[in-house]
Amino acid sequence: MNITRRGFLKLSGAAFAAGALSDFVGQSTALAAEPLEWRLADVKETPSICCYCAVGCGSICSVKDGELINMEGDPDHPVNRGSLCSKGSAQFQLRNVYDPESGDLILNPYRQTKVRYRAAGASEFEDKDWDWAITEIAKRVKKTRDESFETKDSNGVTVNRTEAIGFLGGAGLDNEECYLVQKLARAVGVTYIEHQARI
Amino acid sequence: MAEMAIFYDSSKCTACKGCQVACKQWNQLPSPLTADKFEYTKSYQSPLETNPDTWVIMTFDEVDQDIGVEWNFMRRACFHCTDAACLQACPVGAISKRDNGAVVIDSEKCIGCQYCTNACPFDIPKWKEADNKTRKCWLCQDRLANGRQPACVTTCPTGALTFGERTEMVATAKTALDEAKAKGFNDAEVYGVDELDGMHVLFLAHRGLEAHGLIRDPKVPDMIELWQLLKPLGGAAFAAVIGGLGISYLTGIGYKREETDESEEVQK
Amino acid sequence: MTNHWVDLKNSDVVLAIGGNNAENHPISMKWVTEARKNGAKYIVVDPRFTRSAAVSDLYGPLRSGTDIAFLGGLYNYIFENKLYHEEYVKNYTNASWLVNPDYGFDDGLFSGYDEAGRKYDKATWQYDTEGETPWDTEGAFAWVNKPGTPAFTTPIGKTPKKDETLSDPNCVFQLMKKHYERYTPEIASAVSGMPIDRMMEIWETYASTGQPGKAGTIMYAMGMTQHTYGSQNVRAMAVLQLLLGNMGMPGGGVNALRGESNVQGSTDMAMLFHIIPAYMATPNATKHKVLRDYLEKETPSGGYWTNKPKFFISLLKEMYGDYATAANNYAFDMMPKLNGKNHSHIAMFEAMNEGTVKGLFLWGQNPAVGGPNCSMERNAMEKLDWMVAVDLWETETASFWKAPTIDPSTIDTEVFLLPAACHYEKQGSISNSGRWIQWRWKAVDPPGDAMDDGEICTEIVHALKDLYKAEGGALPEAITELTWDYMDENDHLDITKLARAINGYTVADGKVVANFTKLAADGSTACGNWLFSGYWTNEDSMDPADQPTGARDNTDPTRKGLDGGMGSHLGWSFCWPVNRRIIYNRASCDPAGKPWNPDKPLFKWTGSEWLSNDVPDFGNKAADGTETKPPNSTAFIMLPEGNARLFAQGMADGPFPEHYEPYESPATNALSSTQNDPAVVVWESASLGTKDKFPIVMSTYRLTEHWQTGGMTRNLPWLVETMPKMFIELSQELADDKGIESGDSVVIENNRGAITALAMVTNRFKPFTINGETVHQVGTPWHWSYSSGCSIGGSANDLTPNVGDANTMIPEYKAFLVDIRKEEV
Repeated sequence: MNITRRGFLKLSGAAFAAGALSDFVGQSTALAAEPLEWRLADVKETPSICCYCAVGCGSICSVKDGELINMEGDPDHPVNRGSLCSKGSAQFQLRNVYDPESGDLILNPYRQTKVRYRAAGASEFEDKDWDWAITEIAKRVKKTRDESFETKDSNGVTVNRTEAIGFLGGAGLDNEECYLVQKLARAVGVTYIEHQARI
Repeated sequence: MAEMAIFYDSSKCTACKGCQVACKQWNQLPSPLTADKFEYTKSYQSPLETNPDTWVIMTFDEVDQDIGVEWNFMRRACFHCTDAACLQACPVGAISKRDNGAVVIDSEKCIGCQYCTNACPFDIPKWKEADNKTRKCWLCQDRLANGRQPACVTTCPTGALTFGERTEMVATAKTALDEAKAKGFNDAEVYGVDELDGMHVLFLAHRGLEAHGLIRDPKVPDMIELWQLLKPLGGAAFAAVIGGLGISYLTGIGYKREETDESEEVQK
Repeated sequence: MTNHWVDLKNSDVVLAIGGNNAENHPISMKWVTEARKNGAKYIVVDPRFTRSAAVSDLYGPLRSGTDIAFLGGLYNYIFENKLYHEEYVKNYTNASWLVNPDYGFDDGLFSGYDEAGRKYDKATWQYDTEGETPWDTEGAFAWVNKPGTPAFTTPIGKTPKKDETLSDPNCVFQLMKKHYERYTPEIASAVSGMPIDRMMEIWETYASTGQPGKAGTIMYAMGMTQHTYGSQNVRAMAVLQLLLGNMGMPGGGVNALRGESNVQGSTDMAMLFHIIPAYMATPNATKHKVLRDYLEKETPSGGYWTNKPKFFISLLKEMYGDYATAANNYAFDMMPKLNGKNHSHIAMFEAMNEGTVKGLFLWGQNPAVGGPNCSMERNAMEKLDWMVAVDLWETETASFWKAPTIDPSTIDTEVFLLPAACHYEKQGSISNSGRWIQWRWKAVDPPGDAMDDGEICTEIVHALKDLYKAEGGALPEAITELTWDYMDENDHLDITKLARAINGYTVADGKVVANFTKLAADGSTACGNWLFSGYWTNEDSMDPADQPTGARDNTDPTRKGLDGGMGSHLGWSFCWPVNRRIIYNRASCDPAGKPWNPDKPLFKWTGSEWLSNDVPDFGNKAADGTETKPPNSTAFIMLPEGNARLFAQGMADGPFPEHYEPYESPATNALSSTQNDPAVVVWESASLGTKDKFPIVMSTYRLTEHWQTGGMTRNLPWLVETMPKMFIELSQELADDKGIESGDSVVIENNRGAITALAMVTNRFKPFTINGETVHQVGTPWHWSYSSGCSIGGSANDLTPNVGDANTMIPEYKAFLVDIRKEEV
């Protein structure tokens, strides 16, 4: 990857040269500042685009030891120029949160990380693996498709469609994924293909 | 090192709360993980107050009009006063003033006595029971030391928050005041230039201080001044004793959470 | 958006109507603020006093659903005071075109209405023409003769009758003027509830952009579209912009503020029943029995869409590769054909309810919260055999069988909940509202077993291919022959290979094409989406950073000969089409090629060549390829007319926008006795209510702090903290009437359901006076529901009607009726 970065906005003057050691004068004890650890030392920075509204603001993901530790506006982005709204500033939490008890960085407990399956009539999901799920899904698609497939309509026109399968969603996917999903749907013969743009 | 300041211009603020969240993002501040921990505030202002894990909030005040309202926004966080009551109240020297003007609590030294939370005329520092520490905005000293702006300023979409040398920010505030008046905001006022010997967060309140919920003429409580004379006598041990006297009830000047007007109504 | 975010800075007047840009697109305010520094005015027209209204220069309250009364009144004001941009209107719109003398309009109905079928016969809406122009198949259209190009009868253009003086009573200009004479300020105010003085102030301010050189922009969102006449609302804005000469201008245009990060891209990719990628019609068994029919019916006689056969055949070649040949009509039959019925969202759930739809895939969508009348939609899901939900969260849809009051043991639907990667855990491109296709790099691996949607889709395709190869079945070749050659050496999906195929390539050598002008109808090119053509063109690299979509030059230089600084940022990402940042940009200059605003030129004709700050949207190239073709007045190249349409035949419900009332309304239509849009189809399940039982108007909306059905925000503690609970906003007057105080739990109900929300009593809501009567309105966000994350609450869409727009079937979320009461505890 060859990303042009102009770096974060530099402030003028030498005001920030040192770690701001204090020698406050007054009755209160003058304290030396604690050493300031720079959280973004040795991070890998990756540009991203916000997942919420469609302004398309740029952000920078900072990754350390394989984990996301910071995410803020991309100062080089011509639309947002480093700024982000409340939702944009919260993208970090799609993955990680700080535990209120320990303060530790942990995976957002609401993220789904396992394939889950709910059997007919069951009152809970159960964990499954990918191979099982993909195989079972393909079987159901095939069964429903084959049972409902119309090759010709009542006028004898070739229609090659199934009205028994619906596809919904895609406004949160990447363009290339959208292309694939609609391609799959159309190959299956799906006519009920819709997404968020309609509602 | 030059004194620095944030300038908040209410006439440019859309109250998106980017600052509120960006502060938490950068400073690694948690929020509760379960639904029962959140309270309805009857307002777009949420939480109603700063807390140990939320150092910046946006405030919302309404003044009724024939068509619509005046919906007045304000940023509430540490003002980084020169005459800082919290610092003077701290019995253990855990609060210091940096050369750049920031007033910073050293968590290692904080004993959780809450003198500062009671002394602050703005009710900004907040004590956390879980670890018996008090916390507030520290003007992102780590970012400043590394050439960045405070997280709230970096994230502000409209330029309502700007940051720089305090002398420049004072000039910027005065220009913004002239512009606001030229636009017909006759009640516009600048805040923080002289209050408490000069704050390191400056404000343009384009519909006037009261309309935006700012306190006119804030003061360090008298008791704090007396306390300053007593403090060298005994340090932390003394603090425990005097704590029983309850410095808090003598310091009732300025903003207190009990006075929060949840309906967002401000009588004109 | 016809324009883009940064371009807002070039505007003289910014009008937000039916959109709440400060709250829902906060960064837009960076550029509105920039425009205001230069003296621009910011107007907000909205039923609610929003954060946008709070920072506006002028705010006008308007009863939800009365935008056409407001805008129609503005047209009338513009005509009466001759504030339109006359030279622009004459040259760039169809104002001078004559319409069939039998066209008419009477009491809310246009000519040709078929009451039984609830539709129009549009014969009388057509232009009056004289003479015909066939395609020159020896010259410009010689490509139709190339071997491999499917045979079809080429279209014949009709020559219009025009009156350049705009005085013929049958010319569009006169018909339009006459149509809106009824829209007086008094009527517009009585219908919309906007105080007349404020309305006139807004009209005067916005109409000032009709002066040549001035630019006004309109920002809108779902406040415009989510009505039974939403498409006409959008047209009404476009027509306003044409009258004032604002289309194609820097700082102008009609700008849809799209609500999801990639809803522009997912629309471009046609995840919709009625289109296939890049806005071509889905084949239909009635109109398109065979490929020849499709090409004949879908290819217009003029405009850029005359190239459609090239785009269509290239798409088929991408889908079926070598299998698609001239002999088998490029596998045209593999593509499913519609049966003529509507297959949109509302219809899908009706079909599910009837048991037709048995299996459902969800790719990050949550209709159990987001759909109209969503308790009905949840009931429909109970009839499914199976559901596959690909998501980051356990959405209410994936767990619809856990909804309160439901006994899971009675529901036989199998559910597969597949864990998806979030946006920074994968790579790919994403299109913003301004059509910028930006590359998004991967920062970290997805957690646990989570996988990106593309890979999940690929796994399913491979499993299906294996099954159909092994077992056969219905039309197996539709699946077994489907190209899916996007895999890397480890047999994982390689997005970069896929990007090449979407961009398009020449079949013979596999090399990417430079742009869509290189596509052909003879099977020699393949292209997944012609509008994306140009976004991935570097043959020598597979690194996205080396491709137009990954470009990160944020400077703002000129394209050719001008001063730059217009915010075009041509070196940042790729913008469809062909990196053009402002579409219809020819209209930014007068017919002689002189910019209307010489201080902000997009283009300039020097007498011998074109200078430019953007990629031209017009025939500027001479035969030798140089940009030296002299100006003409063809400013709207996508339309056969070459002119923009003040009068449009393509709409289902009339060539001019006409005011009707929402299907649930507290008011009687004051402009005609036709109460509702006459071309709307209503299903019985909508259970419409009346004002005697439900007198209060309700709207649903979004907040800065939350998003859509809440999955992406109610699971994020920081955001929940900034806006923790579901609430209802209501006026002090209504609260007093109902004995409600802030903080009370309020029951909101209508025929479709009942929900509770916490009261927020505020002067930001005020009663309207409509035709002399007091009308209350309330509003709630629609981000909440019964499960998910750290905040649960009432689901506003349990109350919204599943009745849709006459053209698009988007539900009427923005105006419906309810009653409210304090919940007794």
